[in-house]
Amino acid sequence: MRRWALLWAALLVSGCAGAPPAPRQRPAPPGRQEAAPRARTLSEATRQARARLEALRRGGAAPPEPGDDLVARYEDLLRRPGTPEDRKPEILLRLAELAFERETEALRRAYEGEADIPPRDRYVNTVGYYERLVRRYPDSPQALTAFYNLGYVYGERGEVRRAAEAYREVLRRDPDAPYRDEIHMRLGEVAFDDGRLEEAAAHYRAVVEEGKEAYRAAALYKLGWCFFNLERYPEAVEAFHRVLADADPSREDLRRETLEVLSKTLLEWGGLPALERYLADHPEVADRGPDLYRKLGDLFLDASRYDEAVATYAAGVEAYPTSALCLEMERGILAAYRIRRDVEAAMTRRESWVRRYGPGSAWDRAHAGTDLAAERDAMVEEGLRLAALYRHGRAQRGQGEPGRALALYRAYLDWFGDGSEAGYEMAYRYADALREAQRFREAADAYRRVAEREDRRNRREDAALRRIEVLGRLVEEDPSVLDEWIESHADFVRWNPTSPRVPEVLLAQGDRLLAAGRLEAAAAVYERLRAGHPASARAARSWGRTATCLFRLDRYAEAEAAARKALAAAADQDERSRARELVVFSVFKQGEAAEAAGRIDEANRHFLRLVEEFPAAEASRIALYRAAEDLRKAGRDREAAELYERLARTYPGSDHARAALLLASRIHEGQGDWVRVAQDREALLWGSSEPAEAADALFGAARAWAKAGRWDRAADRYAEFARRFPHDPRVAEAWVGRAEALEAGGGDPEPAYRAAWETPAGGPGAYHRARAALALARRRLERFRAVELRGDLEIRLAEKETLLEEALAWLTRAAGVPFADVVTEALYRAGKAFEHLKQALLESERPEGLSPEELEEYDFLLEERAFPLEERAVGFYQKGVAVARRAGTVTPWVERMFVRLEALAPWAYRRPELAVTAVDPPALPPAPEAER
Amino acid sequence: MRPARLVSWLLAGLLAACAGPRPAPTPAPTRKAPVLGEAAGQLGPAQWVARARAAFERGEYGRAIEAAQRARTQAPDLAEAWRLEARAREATSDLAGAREAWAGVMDRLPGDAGAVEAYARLSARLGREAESWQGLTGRGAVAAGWAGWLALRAGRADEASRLLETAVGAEEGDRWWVPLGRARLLRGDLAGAAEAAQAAVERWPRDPEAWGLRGDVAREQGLGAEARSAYEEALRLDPGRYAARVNLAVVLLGQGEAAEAEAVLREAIGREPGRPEAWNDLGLALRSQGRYAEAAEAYRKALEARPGYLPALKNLGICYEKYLGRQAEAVQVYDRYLDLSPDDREVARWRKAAKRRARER
Repeated sequence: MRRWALLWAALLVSGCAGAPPAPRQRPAPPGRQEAAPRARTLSEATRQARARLEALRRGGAAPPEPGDDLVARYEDLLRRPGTPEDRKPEILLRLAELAFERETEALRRAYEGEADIPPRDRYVNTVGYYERLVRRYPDSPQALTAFYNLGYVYGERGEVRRAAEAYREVLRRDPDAPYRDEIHMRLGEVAFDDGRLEEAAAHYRAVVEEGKEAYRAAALYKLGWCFFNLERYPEAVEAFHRVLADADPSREDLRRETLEVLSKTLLEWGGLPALERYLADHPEVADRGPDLYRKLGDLFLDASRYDEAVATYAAGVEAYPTSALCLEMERGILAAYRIRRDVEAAMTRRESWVRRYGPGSAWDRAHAGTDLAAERDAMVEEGLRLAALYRHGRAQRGQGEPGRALALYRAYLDWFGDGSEAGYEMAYRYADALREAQRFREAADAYRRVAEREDRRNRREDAALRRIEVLGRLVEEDPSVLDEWIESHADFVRWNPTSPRVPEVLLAQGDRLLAAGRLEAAAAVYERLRAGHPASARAARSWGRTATCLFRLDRYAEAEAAARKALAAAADQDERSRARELVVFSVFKQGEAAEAAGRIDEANRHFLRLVEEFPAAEASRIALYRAAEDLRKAGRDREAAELYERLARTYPGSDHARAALLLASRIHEGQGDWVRVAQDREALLWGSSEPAEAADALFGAARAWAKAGRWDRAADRYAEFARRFPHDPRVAEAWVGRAEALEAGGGDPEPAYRAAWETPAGGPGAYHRARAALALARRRLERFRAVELRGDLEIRLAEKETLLEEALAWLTRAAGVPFADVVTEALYRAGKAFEHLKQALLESERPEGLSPEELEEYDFLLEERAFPLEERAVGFYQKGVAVARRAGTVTPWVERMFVRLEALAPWAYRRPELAVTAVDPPALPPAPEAER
Repeated sequence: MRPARLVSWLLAGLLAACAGPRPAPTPAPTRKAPVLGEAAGQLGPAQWVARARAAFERGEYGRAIEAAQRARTQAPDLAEAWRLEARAREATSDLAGAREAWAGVMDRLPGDAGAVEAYARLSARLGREAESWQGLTGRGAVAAGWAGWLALRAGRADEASRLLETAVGAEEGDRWWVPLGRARLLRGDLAGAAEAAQAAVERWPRDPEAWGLRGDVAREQGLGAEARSAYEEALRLDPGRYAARVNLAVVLLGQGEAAEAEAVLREAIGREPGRPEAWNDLGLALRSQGRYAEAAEAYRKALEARPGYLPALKNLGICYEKYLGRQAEAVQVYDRYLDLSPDDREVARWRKAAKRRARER
């Protein structure tokens, strides 16, 4: 650091105002002091020397040309014996000056030729002449000048010590020499360069305290440097301050340099606090404050002390908010942040610019209309733009609130408008930010403003599309913007008629209209899409939508046509599937419409072509079912049944198939076509996986086969039912059904009846158990009746009575169940059996060979035996009637028992009732002229 | 004035006051005309007839009657005066006076068919058929028809048949086929009744009376299907015919269609619940369906409609005894029946059986 400071100091000294004079400004020759007033300064001495040289030239000797001739003539003059000795110092002085000019020129040319002359080789002749002069003529008046110039030239040759000796010799010879201040300055410089700072400071202080005014400021400046290098910062600051406090306008350059070094000093002394302290202590230099802040900030920045740089700049801006340097300090802040890669801080700083420098701010008022204001605009425009984009980007990444970006965009647009290219872009970005902040209403309007611009178009398409998007989001919250949303599609097309996205937007517009139920309008948009962009893939896809519109408008035939076009144009399986579905539904709806209008045949034509073309469609099943239903409702049962069965064949196992089979079987039932009923039920059985459903189907099939007189099948099905569903409540009924079928078919029903009786006594099967018992009784009664009382009466009678007993046992079992019809039938049959036995006895074959008396006696005995049988019969009948009375029910068997009771006990039961007719009084006869 | 007479006088006054607007005075048809104004005393019978007609047309029936009486006082054979008086009296609901006035017309114009018809119709409305039918005999074919019609209503089937046969043979005699068929049916002349019914439905196919007659005849003949269709046609032409509906139900019961008969009878009851025939037959229809308790209730309704209605009493007793086994109640019903018809030995025997079985319990 110290070495740096020294280097700085050397450079400054070499270029400062108080630098040593050029060699040609030599002092006047000491021998002519009487001829001319003593020069007070080095430059004055030079002028006097030139004047004397000119006088010499006019005196006869041609003035030496700058070249060898002149030097040679002066050398010759020296060598001549006649040359007075007292003139020789002057000649030597002149030769030194000529040599100086020639060697300076040579040095210049060497520099220009990019060559270099080592310091020791410089000014060789010049030094030679001066040294000859002071050595041979030390007391000559020219010796003082020679010493002074030697000091200078030694300095130029890097011979600092010899230079200092020369200067000191000048001061020794003449402490009040006119060049005293200069020499102090030179000595100060030499001491400074040698690092003898205290000595240098003494030389500078001599100038400051006693020197001329012209040198004081420079001496203070150098003194400050000495203190700086001696790390005596308060004294350095004080020295520099005295320079700054100098109001002489001619020394502004020095003051600017002082500001620089003062800034360095403050940097070393403590940085920002030192500066603030300095400014607080010296309010008279407050106008230098912004400079100092800025320079200190710069130093921190150069020293990579970025935080302190930022703090210093920021403090400067805060302390001098209206300063012209604020913008530079802001740039400094940004530079520090940039180097430190602290983008966030940089953007935050930029965000503050609106407040600091925006319209209406103090800064703005201070610099309105100036070039600086324009500079401010450029800087803030860029800053705000960058900050807005940065904040927006962060918000998009979820790293910040979108509100900051929105505020920056808004501020930008308010300040700079959207007229420029950047402003246009910012307006678009602003709309984006509004959209991302879900402020859809504002976003839509912002996008609209961008899209509507006639002078700029690069964002037009995007903005128009985004507008559609945000209105779409908005409409979810506010349905009242639906129209605007839909219209936004049309706007897109109007603003971007040649955009390749027009088909897409038109399709979307149609979809929106479709979703809004504006079917006619939607269909028109799709039509427009196809007309305007026939080759577009979306035009092809629009057919499906058109079909949907027409379908929903109940224009099913047109919908079908459109859907078929969609089907033909379908690009993938999904579209094909949807189009096919539309065709299916359209055809189905045509059928349905015809059905609603009562045009059954037309409806069926549609339904059946649907089935033919799309047999796999779910709707086809329904269509077939509906077609059958229509026919059934129209009373065309046979055709209906055909369709039902077709449905069952085509779609076996489906719900519709089951329902269809059931309905078909019912139709066949109604028509008495029991074979087909049975077939349908069996088809139901094969297609059913549900046990309960299978049981129903099997049972129904068995019953239908029985009704069809196909006893073998009926018996098999009933048996299968009993086997597969032994716990079904209908198992007793099934056994009875099987028994009846076997009986009707000539088979042996006994095991089946017995199996029925063996089923559980409780539950719904009890009735059929009773029926089975009745049947078993009936079969025994038939055999009982078949036994004729011929031949051996006792044996035959015993046989008959045995059968009767068996029958009565089964009848008793049957009568034991709580079913009035079964009980009354059992009692009726019992009564009839006894009546039969009585009659059989009375009509039995009479033994041969009986006399009339014996025969009479035999008949009497028979009657005696038969009469109680009739009483038993009457008893069964009366019991049956009583049972019915108690049960409160009447069965046909009761009526039959009443009939038998009327026959067997007429006194008690024959009661003819009286039906009466009514007679109205004879009405007036019709008038002869009455209408006939 | 004695208090009893005063009370009856006051009562008559009160009744008169409560009877609503007082009708126009209806002077009795006397031979002597009342005294009228001086000017009126100057008028002749033709003017009085003209005044009577004008008053009748204006609806001033009292004045019309007065004027007609003045006219026939002055000219007793002026049939028009009698006719105007008859019409005016009919208009004032003086049916008896009107009938007598129409008789006056008939006396003066024996062949006046309108007068005969009016006389017969009023006689029927007044329930005076028995005393009226003979008055119409010997007055021509039309009068014979009306005489037969009145005789039929009076239950004189033989006379009615004879008179109506005369009438149907005359000009415009077709109108008498239905009454003639009724008369023959009453006499048990089923063939003649069938002939008349056939003639009636051929000549008057839109007359429900003719179809009703045909149904009745066919039912009596045991032609159930024919009777049923005839009754159904009658009811189609006039759904309000009670007799046709009840008799249709009887036919249905005979055909074993008790449920359908029940529906028909309930329709008849709905139209005329106060007549017992439909209730009785409804009991039979319900009993035939084994609904004994409901049948007993229907019989009781018949007896409510007409207490002592013998068919219903008999059927209710049978229902209690035979079908419901409620012997004691059966005995009570049989007792009521026998009170009204003590000579019915069969029912008396049933009563004994019921009583014995009631004791057995």
